[in-house]
Amino acid sequence: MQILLPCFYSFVACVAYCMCVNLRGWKMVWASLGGAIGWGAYLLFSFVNHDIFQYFMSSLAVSIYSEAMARLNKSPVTGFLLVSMLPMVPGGGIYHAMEYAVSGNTEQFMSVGLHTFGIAGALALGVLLVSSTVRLTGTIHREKRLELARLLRQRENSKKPGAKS
Amino acid sequence: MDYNQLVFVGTEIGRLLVKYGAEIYRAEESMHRLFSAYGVSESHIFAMTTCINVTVCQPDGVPITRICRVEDRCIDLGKIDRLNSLCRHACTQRPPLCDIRREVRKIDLDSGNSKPLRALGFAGVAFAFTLFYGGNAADAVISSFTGLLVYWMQDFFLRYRANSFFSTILESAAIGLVCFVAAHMDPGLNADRMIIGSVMNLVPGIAITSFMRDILLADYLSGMLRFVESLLVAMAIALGVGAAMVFTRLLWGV
Repeated sequence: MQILLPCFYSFVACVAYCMCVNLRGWKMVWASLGGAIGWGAYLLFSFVNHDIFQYFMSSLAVSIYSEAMARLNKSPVTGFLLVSMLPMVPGGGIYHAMEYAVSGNTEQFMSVGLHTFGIAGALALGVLLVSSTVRLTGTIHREKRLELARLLRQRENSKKPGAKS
Repeated sequence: MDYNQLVFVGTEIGRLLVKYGAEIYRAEESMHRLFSAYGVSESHIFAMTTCINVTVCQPDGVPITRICRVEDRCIDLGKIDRLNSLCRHACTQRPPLCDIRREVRKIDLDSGNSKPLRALGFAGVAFAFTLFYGGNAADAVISSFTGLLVYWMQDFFLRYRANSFFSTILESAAIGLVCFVAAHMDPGLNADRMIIGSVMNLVPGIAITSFMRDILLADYLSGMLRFVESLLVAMAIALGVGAAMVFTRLLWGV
């Protein structure tokens, strides 16, 4: 229950956000489910007790999910990623940093601010890893297919003169 | 084959993609695919978040260049999705250009979800994120009201094309004021949870994912532009809420 409830909240929030950005139909449901999955991954890794690592794992989960959903729905990955990363935006960190800045607590402001930056970096790294890997495998696949086609053509060409002679 | 028309349609698709928040890479790739599907052997495209430059070489060697300014940007994933499938369709079926042009216009003019539904979306984002960040039910209800307020303000500012930095400051200040006043009236409410939840309406989701994707796809210029933009928005939010916080503290001496 403790895991399910926040995931449900993030799902509802993502559905509402989809309404704001005009994402409709099944894509809305899939994209919002990504938000719930991301937060579920965050909570699953809570035994590590290191929130930057948790954010990294959840962004990894969300990016893998979004890439898969984009392939399945034949729709740009941007939409899925944008919606399902929303619950991971470190709003609390920014707010508390601002609060410390207003009350003149510079030390706390710096430490909370840098921590928030670290979270953003972890999220970035997760997305980067997954989307680069996907692109790399796509390119390798395409190159191999081209190579194969070239080989086949060469073989056919070499066969033809042989048949003639 | 009317190359002028082709360049016009291609640039229009690219402009709308950039305008509604797709990555630069996607816009450039879509235009490139469209041009090569219609038999252009050489096309050079340079897109940024604010401007698109396209040069297409006609078969007789005369180039056509079009520069297109992207004015106001907003996030509309539904339109990106439709433009993407239109582009796919155009590349495989190669329908007449005037058909694509009509279709693009239709997508551009589509006003999307109705106003009440969008307002409900704003209220829902604030409501659900307040619960998500650990607020109680009463906090969530107050936040959903601030969500409606933000929707109304954003609608107003967009209609009169106000500066986005300025409007974000005002919106976040309004959120801060409502939440601090409500928390002052009823000590059972958590001002911080309400504010963090409501501010999610202003935090552009595009901030974190898009600029990063632009940078890692080697569109450094656009990535930096978006990064600076998102930093400015974050600063504007902090300024607005901070101003509201200082104001209420001075008023009640908390």
